[in-house]
Amino acid sequence: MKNPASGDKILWAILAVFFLALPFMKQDYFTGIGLSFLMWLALTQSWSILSKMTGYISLGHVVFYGLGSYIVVVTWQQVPLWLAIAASGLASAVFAALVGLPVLRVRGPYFVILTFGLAELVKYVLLAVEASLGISSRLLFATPDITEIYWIMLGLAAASTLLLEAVHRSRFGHGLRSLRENEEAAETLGVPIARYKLVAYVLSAIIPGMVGGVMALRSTYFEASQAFDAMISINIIVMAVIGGGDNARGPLIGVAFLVALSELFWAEAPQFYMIILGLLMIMFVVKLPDGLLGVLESRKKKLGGRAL
Amino acid sequence: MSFLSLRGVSKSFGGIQALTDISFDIERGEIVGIMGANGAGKTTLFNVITGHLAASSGQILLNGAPLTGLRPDQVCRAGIGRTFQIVKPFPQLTVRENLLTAAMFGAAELRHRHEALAHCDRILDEMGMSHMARLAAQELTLSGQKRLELARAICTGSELILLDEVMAGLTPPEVKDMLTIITSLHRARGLTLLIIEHVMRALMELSSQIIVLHHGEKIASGSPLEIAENPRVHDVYFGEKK
Amino acid sequence: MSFIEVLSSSQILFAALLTGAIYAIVAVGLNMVYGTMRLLNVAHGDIVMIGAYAAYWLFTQLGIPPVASMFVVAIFCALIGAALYKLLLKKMLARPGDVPHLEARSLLLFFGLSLLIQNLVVSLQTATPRAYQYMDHVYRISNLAMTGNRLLALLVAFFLCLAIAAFLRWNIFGLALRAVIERTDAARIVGVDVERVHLISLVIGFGAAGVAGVLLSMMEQFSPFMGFSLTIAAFIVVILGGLGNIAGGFAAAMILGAIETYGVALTSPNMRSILIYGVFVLALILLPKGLFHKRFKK
Repeated sequence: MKNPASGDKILWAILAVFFLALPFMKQDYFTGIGLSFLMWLALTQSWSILSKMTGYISLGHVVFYGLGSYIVVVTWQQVPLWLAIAASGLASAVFAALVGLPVLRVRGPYFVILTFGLAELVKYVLLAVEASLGISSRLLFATPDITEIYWIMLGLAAASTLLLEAVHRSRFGHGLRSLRENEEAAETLGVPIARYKLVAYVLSAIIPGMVGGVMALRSTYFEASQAFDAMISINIIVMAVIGGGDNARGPLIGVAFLVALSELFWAEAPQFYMIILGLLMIMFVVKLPDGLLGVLESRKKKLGGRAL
Repeated sequence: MSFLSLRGVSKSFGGIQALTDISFDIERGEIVGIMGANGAGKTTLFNVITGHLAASSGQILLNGAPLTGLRPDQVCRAGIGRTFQIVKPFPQLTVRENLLTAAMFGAAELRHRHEALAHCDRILDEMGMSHMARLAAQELTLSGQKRLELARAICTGSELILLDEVMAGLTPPEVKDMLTIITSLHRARGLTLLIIEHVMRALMELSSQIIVLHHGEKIASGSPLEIAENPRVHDVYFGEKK
Repeated sequence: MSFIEVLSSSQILFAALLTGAIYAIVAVGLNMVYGTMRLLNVAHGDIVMIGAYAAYWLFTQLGIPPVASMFVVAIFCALIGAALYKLLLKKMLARPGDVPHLEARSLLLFFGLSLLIQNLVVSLQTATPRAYQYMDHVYRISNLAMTGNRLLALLVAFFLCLAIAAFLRWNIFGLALRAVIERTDAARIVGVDVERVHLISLVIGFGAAGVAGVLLSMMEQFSPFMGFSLTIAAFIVVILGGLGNIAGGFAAAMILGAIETYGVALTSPNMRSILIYGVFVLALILLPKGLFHKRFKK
């Protein structure tokens, strides 16, 4: 498999160089877009570890993002930064481990709406908790500047890429794909499905938690409705659906597409942006279920590629 | 000590008694057939053995070790493979990838892709399926999928394989092929087989022992000849002589 | 208010009944659509929203009162359902693909539809909540005070539930519906026109949702985003009542209405969302088959 693998390596090398160089151009606007891209990449790739590999589509991934945000905000300036961010990842993982067992017993579309409901539940509980503390929002001071935040996010995006690829190539990953195709058959062939699903769920939660923590520093502002905004979950899914595939490359396409789209429309005409989003979802589900990556790969096949 | 031992296995679903006090022994290397009308409890019996259902009472022993309470994946690693009456392939994975799962997670536990794939390729070769290795499972015909189901069970490295109506839906030439494959695999790999079949010819030809179930009870067991002459079996299958 | 006061208040009882009845007619559509087609229509609440805005427009622009426009709106929403089926769903359902993936993916489709509908309405009507005045004369019976519109809403909702229940019970369609919900392939073999059952389910379901929208618009403020929480409530009803179990759905709706109304009365309005989503999450985790599921099954 020489050609595809080295083609991939070149792709990632180019991207790495590009993103490493970006902050040095000293253009905050572009650094901001780059940051946005890296953030969504990290989120979508982490989401894929669960939802693409097992087929359990999470519509409530923002719950990890929000929890991570909250952890960083309440520990701000009481613990060193690296510890706060690590804690946000850990807290998300622990949450996932706790709710994962009951939640993952629910199948198909029920699982999808359950994750959504769970995220909303946590949001409203946190709102109530903050309200009882007399807090409507929290402000952060002396937060790192955008370049520092960018570097952290680059690290997280690199981590999510490596993690997704590692899972994809491992025996664990093959087990996940098997259970996605047919859970009962997979179990009968020796795949420990309950354990594997839980591990995938926890793995998919860690980086989003840390991303949420980092973005709290970026916005210097925490308010539960925003930190747990369902649009974040929705955006992840749209990017994943448009991108397609269950590896690290699909999200690249989906994220790039949507970041470009939102740069064009979100500020001026948010309704138009959402309408396009809705249309894209419908179109991709009906006509292009394998996403843009699927389109690219079938073109490659026609030009004489190979399958495993 | 027998290879597989069932002692007083019963299974009830609320008010319905699916299996009542089933006991039998299977020796290593045997091929045992399970016979019975629809609803007699044959697949339920398989499900109880493989851990898909928990027995309401009784014991199941593999090489003397109890299988009760084990999850299906644990039962597989203990050395029992099975096929399903309605095939359950991994539709979008290739035939080779389908087998890979079995090789990596079954009793063979070949954790490294390289070794596991070599193992799979050998079995594909043995079963004459190498030409379809890179096809997606959903593209196969029923006959192909039935063979895939069997290949997967073999690929797990199990010594005991439960075949649930593996001939169902096949045309007579396909049945003949399947018979040949099963016989040669049994001999070449020293397998022990437990077979549910409605295709009588296949059952009679393959089995050294046949167990007959009716309404969840074992009403007869013995050699194919004995079963063919058994009056109780006749009554159940052809109705009582009036 | 103390615990006893809350329980014995006829005001709160009325509110609970009204909430329950509205949930019932919103949920019946979801129940039939998911039951027959296994498609989770997360845009169902947005149909209610369309009904609300349609009634608003007809009332404020053309002076047609809701009591009359509800028929027009019902037909309008029913036609949306028919169009959705003919244009999108029929094709998706015909594709043989594997079931759980089809269900999860169709959910994404309805999701896209929801985004589309909500934001179209926002661009037409802005996101500001709207309201209008209609039949707000207050009637009193001992210590129960209710506005005319609420009383009308309760009566219409109950009547509609009865009408649908009666239709399903006595019309042969009801039998066909139950057959398709239980085993579609078997129903097809015995001659049920499955496509027609799908179509009629969508038509009745969307029509009922539209009427719910009209009723809600009479009583409360409405916004383009009102659909979300109604969809969630409808799902709770369907899960608690058991999939495809229309009578169970009505009962579950009343229970949910009671939990919500009494729960809020005993705690605070802030708890409403926590209660709803809490019940939602618990119901999904604990009751895969619904509260009223008949124990015997093959």
